[in-house]
Amino acid sequence: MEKILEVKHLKKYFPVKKGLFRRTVAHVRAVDDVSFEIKGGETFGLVGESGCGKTTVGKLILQLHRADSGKIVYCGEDLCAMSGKQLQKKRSEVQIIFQDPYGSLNPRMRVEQILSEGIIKHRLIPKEQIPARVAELLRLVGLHEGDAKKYPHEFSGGQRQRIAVARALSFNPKLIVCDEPVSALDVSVQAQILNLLVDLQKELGISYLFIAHGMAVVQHISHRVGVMYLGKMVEIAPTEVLFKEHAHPYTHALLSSVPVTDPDKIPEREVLEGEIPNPINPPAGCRFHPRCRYACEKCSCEVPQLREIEPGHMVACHYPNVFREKGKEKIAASEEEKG
Amino acid sequence: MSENLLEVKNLHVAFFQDGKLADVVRDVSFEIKPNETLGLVGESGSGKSVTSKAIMRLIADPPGKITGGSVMMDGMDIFALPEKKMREIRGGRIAMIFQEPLTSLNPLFTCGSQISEAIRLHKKCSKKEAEEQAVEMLRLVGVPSPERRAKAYPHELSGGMRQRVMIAMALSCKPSLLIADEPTTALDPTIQAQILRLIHDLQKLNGMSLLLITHDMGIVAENCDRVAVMYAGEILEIADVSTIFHSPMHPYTKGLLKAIPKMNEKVERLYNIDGMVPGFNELPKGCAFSSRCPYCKDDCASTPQRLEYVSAGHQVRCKYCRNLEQEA
Repeated sequence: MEKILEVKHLKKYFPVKKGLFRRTVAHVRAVDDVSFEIKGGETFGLVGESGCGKTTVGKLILQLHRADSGKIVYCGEDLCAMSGKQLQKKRSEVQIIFQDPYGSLNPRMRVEQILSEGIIKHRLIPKEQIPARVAELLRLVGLHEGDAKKYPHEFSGGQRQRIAVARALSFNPKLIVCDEPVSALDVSVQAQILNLLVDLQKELGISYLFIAHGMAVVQHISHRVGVMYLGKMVEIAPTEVLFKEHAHPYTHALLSSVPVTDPDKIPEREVLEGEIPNPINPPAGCRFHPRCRYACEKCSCEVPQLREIEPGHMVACHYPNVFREKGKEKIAASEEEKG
Repeated sequence: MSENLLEVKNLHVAFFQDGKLADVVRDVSFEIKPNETLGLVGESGSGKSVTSKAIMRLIADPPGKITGGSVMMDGMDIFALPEKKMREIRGGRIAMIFQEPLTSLNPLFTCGSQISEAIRLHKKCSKKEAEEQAVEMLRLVGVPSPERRAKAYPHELSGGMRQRVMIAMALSCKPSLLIADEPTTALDPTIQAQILRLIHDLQKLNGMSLLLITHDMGIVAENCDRVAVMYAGEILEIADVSTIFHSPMHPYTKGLLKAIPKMNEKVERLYNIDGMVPGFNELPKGCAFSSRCPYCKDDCASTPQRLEYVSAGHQVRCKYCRNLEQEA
């Protein structure tokens, strides 16, 4: 498959301003040297805890923030190097769905206005075809044509998220950034939206960048997954590999902290000590080392680079897979004690 | 132990809405034994939080009203107690922690003073003793350098730390029942695992019962002994945790479990429960789930369903639940 998006060494530091003259005293290193790619028709899942920079990556791709350095190559062109006018054209091809369907729809606009605003702005189709297009979009996301005259408050959370999906689709995008699209929804409605996204991908061949913190949801929908920690990408792998043969200790801890939905199969849990450090002053070396129980001296001074350990499986860790052996050692030791 | 610590019987709670009473909680009955964890699961608006507030008698009247039923705690009728006695129970015998620790802590007081306030309300002790106990509680819930954190204001702490402070406050008077209303929903997965383990350890240490309210089936599976599933203000099914997950009987429970994406299990499409939760003004006379139920019969929407035993300890609110297997 062809690459639709390539992110290379992306960096975004937000200044922290203080005092009377609003001098910059420090930087929040929200995204620090992140690289990945998304292929056509693929879903790339991006997971991590709050503050790890996953939403910032999404906003950088849409150029809602301008990157400090690095490249975002979309269909062969670098979005970061484009001027405002050139960008506007490209913007219609990359769309976003936000987490909160209550905050992301204008309460004073009817659904038909919400869906046609972008079409009119970008002159995508002749004016007289717009009502038909709105009806088609509504049908596509499982709503009724009659809903076009309603206001957002007349819909439930799940239906609003459908409207948000329809708005993104109105531009015929090639890539949709889904920023926690189901986190605010109830379980039974969440399944409806996830199914809708999968169906649309099959029908229209759209690629998704799926940002979420729910691991089970990401596993369900993604083809490949990237794990972020404190502004750094720590592991990228195809979904099956990441969930079974992950090599980074943070990925291991993150997966281990997810509750399983079977009361008889509760696994031995590795609960991470401590909290996520402040991104203004991240730890030296590997950013995960203060919370990593397998860390040694090298980890605290040398930054591990993202490298390929198997085709398609990249890890930023000096000692990938070491937790498996150490874990085994621990089990063996405890068994010896018992024996 | 078979003595029940808490018994909720036929609880009804209504709220005034557009001049009419809307029944938000209907005919809710369950009991909690000492040292037991009961999970209360349901989607938003299913009445889980209202139920827990009714147990604490925290429903503001108006607009809310407890319209029927009883809550017995240790043999005492909670709804018949005078307000003064109720204050002793609140925080003393039954404690509560909420979802968003930032809004439930007072931003104007230090964490230490808020915990010692709770201690002094329920125990006779000097201010200094209470403050020392507050620091001790913070140490117990795993707050690093508790002496320093006791002097910190809530905004100076992270979400996980704030929730620890809430837990320290709730447990400071050694309650026999802790109500945890979505205690980890606002937290990150690794912090969530820390807090859940902490609650579990403290429960064992103090020997208390837990009413755990959540919408996350994973949390229920790992932390509860028994589970009550709520939908649109009613309990649809109660059973022990492995029965709920391995042989659920109510069509809603079945659908809910199929609708969650599971780790280690790849499915092409998730199961859809069509439609959405009905509003409280548009509830049918009969089964609240009838409008979305794939097995709905002609009389489901018109005749009220009762919560009935299908086997020992397993109650289901669906009279057709035994025949579903054959139909499918």
